[in-house]
This record gives sequence, C-alpha cells and structure tokens, in this order.
Amino acid sequence: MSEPNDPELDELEGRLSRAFAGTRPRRGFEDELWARLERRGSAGRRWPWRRLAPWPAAGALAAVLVIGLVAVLALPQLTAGHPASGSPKTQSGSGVSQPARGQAGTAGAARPNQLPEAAAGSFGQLPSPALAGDPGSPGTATSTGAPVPYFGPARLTVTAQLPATPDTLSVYRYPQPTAADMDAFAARLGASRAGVAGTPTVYRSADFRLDLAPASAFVEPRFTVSGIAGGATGSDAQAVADQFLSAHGLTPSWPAGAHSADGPEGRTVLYQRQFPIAGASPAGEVDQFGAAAGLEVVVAAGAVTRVRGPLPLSLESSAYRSRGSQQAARDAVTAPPGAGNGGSGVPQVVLNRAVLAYMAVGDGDHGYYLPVYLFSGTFSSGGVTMEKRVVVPALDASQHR
Amino acid sequence: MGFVYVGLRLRPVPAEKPAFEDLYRGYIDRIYAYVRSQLGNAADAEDVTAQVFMKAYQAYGRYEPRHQTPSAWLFKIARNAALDQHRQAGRQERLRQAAAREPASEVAPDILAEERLIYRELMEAVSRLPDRQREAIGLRQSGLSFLEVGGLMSCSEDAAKMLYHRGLRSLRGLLPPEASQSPEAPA
Repeated sequence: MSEPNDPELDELEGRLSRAFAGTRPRRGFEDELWARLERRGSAGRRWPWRRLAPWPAAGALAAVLVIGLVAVLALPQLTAGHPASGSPKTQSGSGVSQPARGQAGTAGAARPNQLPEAAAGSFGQLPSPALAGDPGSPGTATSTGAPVPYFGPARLTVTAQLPATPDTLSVYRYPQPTAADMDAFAARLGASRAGVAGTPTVYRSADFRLDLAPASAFVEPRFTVSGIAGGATGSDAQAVADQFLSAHGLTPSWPAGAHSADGPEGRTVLYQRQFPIAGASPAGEVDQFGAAAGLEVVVAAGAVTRVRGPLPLSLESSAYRSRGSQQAARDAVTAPPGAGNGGSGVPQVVLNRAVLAYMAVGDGDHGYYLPVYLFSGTFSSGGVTMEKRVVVPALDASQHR
Repeated sequence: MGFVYVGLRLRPVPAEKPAFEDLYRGYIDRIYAYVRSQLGNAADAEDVTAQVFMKAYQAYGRYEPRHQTPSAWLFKIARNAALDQHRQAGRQERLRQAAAREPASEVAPDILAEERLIYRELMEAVSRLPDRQREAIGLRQSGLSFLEVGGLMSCSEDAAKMLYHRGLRSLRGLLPPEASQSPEAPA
C-alpha cells in the first residue's frame, strides 16, 4: 500500500505489518484483564492517588513513621476470636485478644475429598499469596451496587475479629496439567482440536467452544465453555446451571457453596470452592482480587451461556504451622501498597472484617491452594462506596519464601 | 444479516451480537498492538488496553452491530482512549517518563520475552510520529480499511491514504539507518 516504485517503503511497510501482527501483551495479561472484566468493569476512570508524584525521600520516611505509629496505636484496639462464644482471650499485656486456637495438632484430619496427607510442611517453603489488583488503581464495580474493590494505598487500622484458626492449616498442591491432561479433559466433554486452527488451547464440540487456560501466578488452570448451543432451559438459574453441569459431567467434585447474582451477561451462579478447617467453618476460595471463586455458570434468557471453572486437579495436602492472629493483624496494617505518599488523597480505612480463605498461587511446575486471612473494610470516595481488601498469609511467615 | 453504511457503500455485517468474550479474545491482541504503537511503552499500553475493554464492556449493551462493525466500534474506543492518554500526560512528558521508566536494559523480562526487539523499536518509532500520521499508521496496520481509517479520523479515504504514506516516509526518517535497511532480525 506504499507508493509505487519505492521498494524501501514497501519493505518498511512489510516490517510494520509483521511488527503489528507480532506485538502481543505479556503472557497472562489477557486472562488477568478478563478476570477484572468479569468482576464488572466501570473502572475506566483514574483515581487521584494513582498519579501522585514519586515520594520524596523525606515524605516516604514520614509516611513510614505514620504507618508505624498508626499500627502501634491501633494494636490495642485489635480484637480477635468471638468473645460472645466464650473464646479464651489472652495476651492482655499486648492488648490483643487471641482467638481460640483449638484443635491444635488436628490439621491432619482436614482432608477434603479424602486427600492423601503428606508429612507436615513437606512441600518446603511456599510462595506468598497476594492480591493481584493493580496497585494504585481501583478494582471494578459490580453491577449490583456492591462496593467497588480498591487495591490502592490506604492508611489502615484493624478492628476485625479474626476467625478461630487451628495451630496448623492444610496446604494443597497440584501439578500443572500437561497438554495430554487438557486433551483428555476436552475429550471427556466431547470436544477436540479438530478443525481449530491457531491457539492450541481452544477446542470445539458440536455444541460449544472450550478454552483451556494453564495456570498463571494467581489463577489455577481453568476451563471456559462458551458459544453454547442448546442445553437445559428454565426460569430457575441455579436449577438450569445444576442440570447443565450434571449433563456435561462438570458438577464440582469438591465441596461448594452455591449462590447467584445478576450480572451484565445474565445471572451468574457461583459454586464457591470450600476447604475444610478442623474445628471451624470451611474456608471459601477467593481469587486474586479477593472475590469468591470457584465454578461460575452464567445463565441468560433461561439457558446457560458460559461456564468457567478450575480444571480437575490432582491434589495432595500437607499441614503447615499457622500464623497467629496478632501477627496477622499487624501484617494487615502494613501490607503493601501501604499508605502511598501519605497525602490527603489517601483514604483511611478500618478493616472491620476478616475471614479465613484459600487462594490459588502458581509456582512453576506446581500450584497451591494456600490459606490466607482476607481483611476488608469500606470507605467512601466521591460518593462511591469502595472496599479495601488486604490479604495476609495465614501460615507462619517462616513457611513462605 | 444486516447492512451498515461505510462511507457510501453498504457493507454486510452480522446482525447478531457475538458474546462479549468472543469479541474480547478476538480483538485484544490487535487493540493492544494499536495502543502500543500509539503510546510507545508496554506499561501504558496495558493500562489503556484495560480501559478500552472496560469501556467496551460497559457500552456493549448499547452497541448495535447493524450500525457498526465490531472492529470500527472497538477501534473508535481505543483511539479515543489513546488520545485521552496523550492529552492527560502531555506527549513529550509521557515519552520522557517512558524513557526513564523503561530503558532498554531494564524492561520487565516477561514483557521483553513477548516482544521481539525489532518490533519494539518499530512501535516506539511509530509512537514518535506526528499525531495524525501516527493514528493513520496505527489504524491501518491494525487491519482497518482506509475508508474506516478516514471514518474514525473524520477525513476522507484519500486523506487517510495520504496521511498513511506521509507517516511511512516520516517513519523511515526516524529509524536509524541500520534498522531501516537491514533485514529483520531472527526471533
């Protein structure tokens, strides 16, 4: 398309075409962005604290001191456990209540799905779980008017009652699926690569498209069924979802709690994965944004339009020493990205909720489901209710790299 | 099947809306490459690409495929987002920051691994072109027809061609002699 008789421009144009065709976002970006979109995106606008100038050294020092002071002042207010239920409170000297750490040494009994139990801590030091929200940017709004997740800097205090946690917690490990594993999973659903050009993780059947995604840093290997033709229909979204999953052999083999909510593409039924905790309520899986995770089924106009969930994985488990609630609360206050430059635009947030949860973390040839404390608290900015989320590993710091 | 006017021509377009995920996965690489060519660095390109699809996701309910091809619709959003980015930061300041933040020897390994060096050099050269030439090169190389490029840039098809060719000549002048004349480096 360049001017005639100018081979040099022709050559340049050819190189440009190859450059555009060969320029791709980094690996994992597509799935990360899609995950954000799925959490519902209104976050096109930027937030004031995103564009703040780099810290001057003195400002940074002052901010660190402020954080430390806030942490020290906040600690006496920290509470843990459930006083109403008579959980023992200790460590009055520090002003921090200690939750019941019952069932000490019983973590070996926490065996979801009769998993084989390896020796305690047998996986070695583990990667550290963390939220993958873009530091300094907002999360994405939900369509239901729920608070907008926020991952930027904030001044934090903790008033949450931490859940009772055993002395040890189970860690679950899985090997990354091979291409043969993915082919086998697709074949089980009646899908194949026949007639599919290009991306080796796309499969098709007569009734749907199947995308298989290998694990990334914060997402376990997942499948997505879309472009669905036919299937169950009905007015009860969960019943339709249940029927579709059963018909295709996709009903979760792991414990799950189902709930549903309206979204832009229809009603989403989420089967949140549950991990048993010895002597306590199960802990739900959360994703890299701190939102409930598991298997999602989107139902629109009475029919299933998309299914997304973790690939079946072979799990083994091992018990690791847990982190004390006092330490977890301290770590929440100082969790990155901290208080930014300490300017007036940085919100002050009281983290008044804390739950024990599990997060998927990829690490080379293996991935893990790791226990975490998920702290949260809301604040208002420009008339919008936002939710600050902080994740702190629930295992003792020595167990992580 | 419906039809949409593109300039004076009727062009058939599918009347059915594709699933947004199909649109997303089908276009994310092209949108990213376009934005990358307009902004000159990978970090900003990711940021703006995310904004593009956030906006598209929000507006998808109002998108009417009978009136606009998905390509024209998405690239209109992308063009506006890239222009907004230029306006916000100031182009020269942004380039200065990009140069300071992303020196050749300190680019994140995962980004480097995804971009061949020769591509990166070309894309950054495109980002330094005059605004209109840069847009014409970016949109055309993203697969849009000159008619569509002109439509997005509010000019005629011929004017879009002219901007594109001027852009090619300017680009040749921006590239170092060895880069503009040597054959492409192997991957």
